[in-house]
Amino acid sequence: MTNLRSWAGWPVYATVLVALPLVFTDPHARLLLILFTMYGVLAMSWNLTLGFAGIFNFAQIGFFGIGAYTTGILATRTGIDPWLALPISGFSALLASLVAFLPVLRLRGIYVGLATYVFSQLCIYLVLGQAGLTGGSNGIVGIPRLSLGDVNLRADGRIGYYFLGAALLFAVTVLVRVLTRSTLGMSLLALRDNEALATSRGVSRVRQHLIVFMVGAAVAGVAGSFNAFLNGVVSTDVFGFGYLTLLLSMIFLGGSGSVYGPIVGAVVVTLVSDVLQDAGAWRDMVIAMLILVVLWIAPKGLAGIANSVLTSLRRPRPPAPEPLPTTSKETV
Amino acid sequence: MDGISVIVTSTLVLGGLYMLMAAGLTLIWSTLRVFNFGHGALMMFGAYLTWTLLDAGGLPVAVALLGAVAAMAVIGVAYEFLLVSPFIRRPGGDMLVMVATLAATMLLQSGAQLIWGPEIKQLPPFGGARVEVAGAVAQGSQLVTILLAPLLVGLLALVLKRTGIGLTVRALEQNREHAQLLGIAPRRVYVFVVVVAIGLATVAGALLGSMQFISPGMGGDPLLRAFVVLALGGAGSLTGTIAGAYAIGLLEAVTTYYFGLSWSPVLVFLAMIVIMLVKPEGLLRTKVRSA
Repeated sequence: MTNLRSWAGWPVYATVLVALPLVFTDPHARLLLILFTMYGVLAMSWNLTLGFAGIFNFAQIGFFGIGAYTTGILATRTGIDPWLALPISGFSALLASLVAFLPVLRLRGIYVGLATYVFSQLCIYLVLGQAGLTGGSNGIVGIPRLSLGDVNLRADGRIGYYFLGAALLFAVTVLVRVLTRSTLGMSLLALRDNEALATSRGVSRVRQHLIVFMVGAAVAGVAGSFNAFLNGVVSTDVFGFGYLTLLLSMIFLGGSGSVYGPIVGAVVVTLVSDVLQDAGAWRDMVIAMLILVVLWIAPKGLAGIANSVLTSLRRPRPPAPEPLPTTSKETV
Repeated sequence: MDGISVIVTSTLVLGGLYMLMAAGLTLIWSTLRVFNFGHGALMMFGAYLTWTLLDAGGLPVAVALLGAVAAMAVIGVAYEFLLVSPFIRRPGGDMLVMVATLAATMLLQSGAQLIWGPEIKQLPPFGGARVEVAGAVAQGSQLVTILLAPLLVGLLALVLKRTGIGLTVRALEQNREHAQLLGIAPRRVYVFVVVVAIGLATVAGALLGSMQFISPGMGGDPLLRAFVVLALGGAGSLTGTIAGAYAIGLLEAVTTYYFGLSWSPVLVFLAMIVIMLVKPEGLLRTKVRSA
């Protein structure tokens, strides 16, 4: 019975995803829907390491960019079937994650943040240095569009891209949900909240963190590939500060450490960012303020607020017990 | 011979700049146990303020810099009150502070864009003196950087070692609970530390702004180099930071000279990754301080 209840949401979720573009037919609304799915995928995959595992992983944006550049190079320089570029980009991001994971082996906390941030920046320098392959600061233009049979995915207000993005989002949501409920997910929470206790119970930190790191990177790589096909161009912007802060605001607004929170965050931040599109630097101001206000008043994000509302609705009488403060002050 | 003199000059200049940045980061890291991602943006803001005081206020460049340091001190107090202290006590607070300071970077960068517009600015050189030692030439702002950076950081080391406030900073570094038992109020020390760190960053920003240009994104590269300095010298040790800054300056000067501008950062960062793998506590430290 509980099984039925917990899985009943999925068909509803799928139906909503399918119905959305039929309700919103305007090309601009369709583009926003596509962005919801792409940012949703990215924010969820980043939340695996940042929120659930508590790794200060700032390399996710690098994996996204590596996926985008892999697709850009494959699609313009080789005659490969564009559809194959999607999984290959995921795989190349996965390989890159093995390099980015090296500092996680021996470092903790903030040092991992420094090393992984540097990794992402290093990608920019490598792209600029290999101008013959990557186009340097000009980027790669003229990436062929995806098509299915005779149907270009761009046709009818990019509806093909929307369904591809929605399929990815659905798959990643299932993946994240299954992962977080699995023993892997449990052990990640245990490692995050009390590493010493978790390792003493036989959990291998390096192994579990490596798995979640690779999964997150592969998803980000596929999202990068999707982004490259969607825009038709790739530039070093994909590694940039813009994506980094946008995604962070999505994760923290939605609720880091919640499965569905980042999707909600992605929708809200994409909408806010779209409304302020013509406001120039004000847009960044508003998004930065949004991050800060959420951190100040609701550190668990919208998911945390929704949770506490639901709990108080279900059990009105006894006050919710104060959660015990976790002791995760591990540094080097 | 010519190559060596170029390398020596740029080592001293770069080392000085990175030292000014990294000393502040180290100080914040060792006392507050958080990482200030906004340090590069604060440096940029300080450079812009110096430019405004110089351009609109008509002040001489040294006075303008002092004024900017004072103005940045006010921003520093607000920074501590709004971005650091609300999160520092919460569980997982170090990640929250990191995200909050990233948001601050965004805020400062777009703020600078709105206030000063997109066109890049430049500060005039700090004086026209020129010194030549054994073929190595340093003049104007370069010379000032070479001399001022070690002077200021040395002064900071002296303050930490000899004065009352320095003593309380070190007490908090070593054992926060015990220091509080002795009646040291951490908040006041935190504000002091943040203000000093931002002051040093402002000086670095003004110097860089007179040697290169001022733009909203100018803080990014120096911040990254300061990370590497911390990795090399071990975050939390001022001596390690000073040595690390010159070592990275030297590495960058040599690699730029022999491999070119686009490969130098790659090699510098690779060095950092290798160091972090082999000796995560920093090459120049022997003992790791536990949190």
